[in-house]
Amino acid sequence: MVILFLILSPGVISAQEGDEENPHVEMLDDQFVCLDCHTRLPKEGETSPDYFLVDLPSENCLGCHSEVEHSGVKEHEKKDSGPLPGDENRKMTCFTCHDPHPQGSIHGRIVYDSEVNPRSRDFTRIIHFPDVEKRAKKEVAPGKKKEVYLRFPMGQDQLCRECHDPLKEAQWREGILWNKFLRFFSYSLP
Amino acid sequence: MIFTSEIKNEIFLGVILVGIFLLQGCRMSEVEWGWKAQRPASIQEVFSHEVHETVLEKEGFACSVCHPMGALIEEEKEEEKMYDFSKEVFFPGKETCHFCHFNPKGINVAPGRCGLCHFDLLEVQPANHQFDWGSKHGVYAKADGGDCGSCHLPKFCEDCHQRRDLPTQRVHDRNFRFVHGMEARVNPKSCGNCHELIGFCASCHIEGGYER
Repeated sequence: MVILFLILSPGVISAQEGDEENPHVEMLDDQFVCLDCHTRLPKEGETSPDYFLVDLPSENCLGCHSEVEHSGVKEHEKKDSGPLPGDENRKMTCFTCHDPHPQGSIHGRIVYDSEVNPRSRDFTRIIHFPDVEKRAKKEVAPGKKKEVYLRFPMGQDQLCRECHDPLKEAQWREGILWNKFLRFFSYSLP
Repeated sequence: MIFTSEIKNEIFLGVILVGIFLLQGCRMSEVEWGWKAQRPASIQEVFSHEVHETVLEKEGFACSVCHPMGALIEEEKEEEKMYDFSKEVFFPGKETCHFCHFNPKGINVAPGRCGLCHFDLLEVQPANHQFDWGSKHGVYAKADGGDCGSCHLPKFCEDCHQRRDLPTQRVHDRNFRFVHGMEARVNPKSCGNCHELIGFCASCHIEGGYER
């Protein structure tokens, strides 16, 4: 009995540890981990508006992740997902920007980390975060995770520009004649 | 009712004063903008991404410089606080804007259009910029010219002091070269308000004396 316990115990322990491990990483080795989030594996070329998820697309990630896990989430909430995958109402959700599948788990799929160029990273660290800390009277904790499985690179702003186009925004603003008129009466120091 | 010519004049003068008051958009309090322009509800309304896009790209700044998404928010327990904190982090504060637009240490690299964000310029107007600032500013500028640069671009000073192609030349008349000797003799101190007397005058006069 004791021998039997000793033989089985490492398996039990590893299974418990495995439950706490990151299922995204496990996807590379364990195909069954797919069923943590999906009801079944789709056939070749098969698609579904709910992505075969066990929960609603807008709620599926919230089983493990916080609703406001990092800055900017709330600001994007309920916005149209545009050309990227959206939830059941075509609104933005976690997997609009993030691809939950790490590179290598789906053939041909590429995911990106959150790395930006050093100049931008340093500016945020040296100028922006201390300013926020002064205003909010609270320490800003930068996220340590770099492997965040983004659909497009953050560094060249490709991810943001999938939906945001500064030029279009400007055209919309310029189109308002009233604003043009008011500009004559605004004053500022040269 | 009979209006005498004096009353008529007073009414006429009153109408003119009211007109000037309205046209100037005089503010009765800190929040009133008169009819001049509607005060924007927030800075985001007047910020143009298009204007900044080229510069930011050239400087190698990504969107995340102003809108960082990498700060952890989940440590906050209350949802309302979470949202407030996220907002604080996600939108740029004044230090981000001031890095280019108001940077006394690094000298402004971007136009110091303070009025774009500081809707009430009186809030940021230096205490010494009073009604007689025009006659006094030269002394301050000579003492610390860099201080002017913390708000104004060089163009702001040059428009008055260096340009010679405008009929509206304000400091020295267009024929000043021919008459400056008389003004200098009458009141040499006035030159010194802006110029280093020994160095500036001597740079022309030292070789040939006054008659040169």
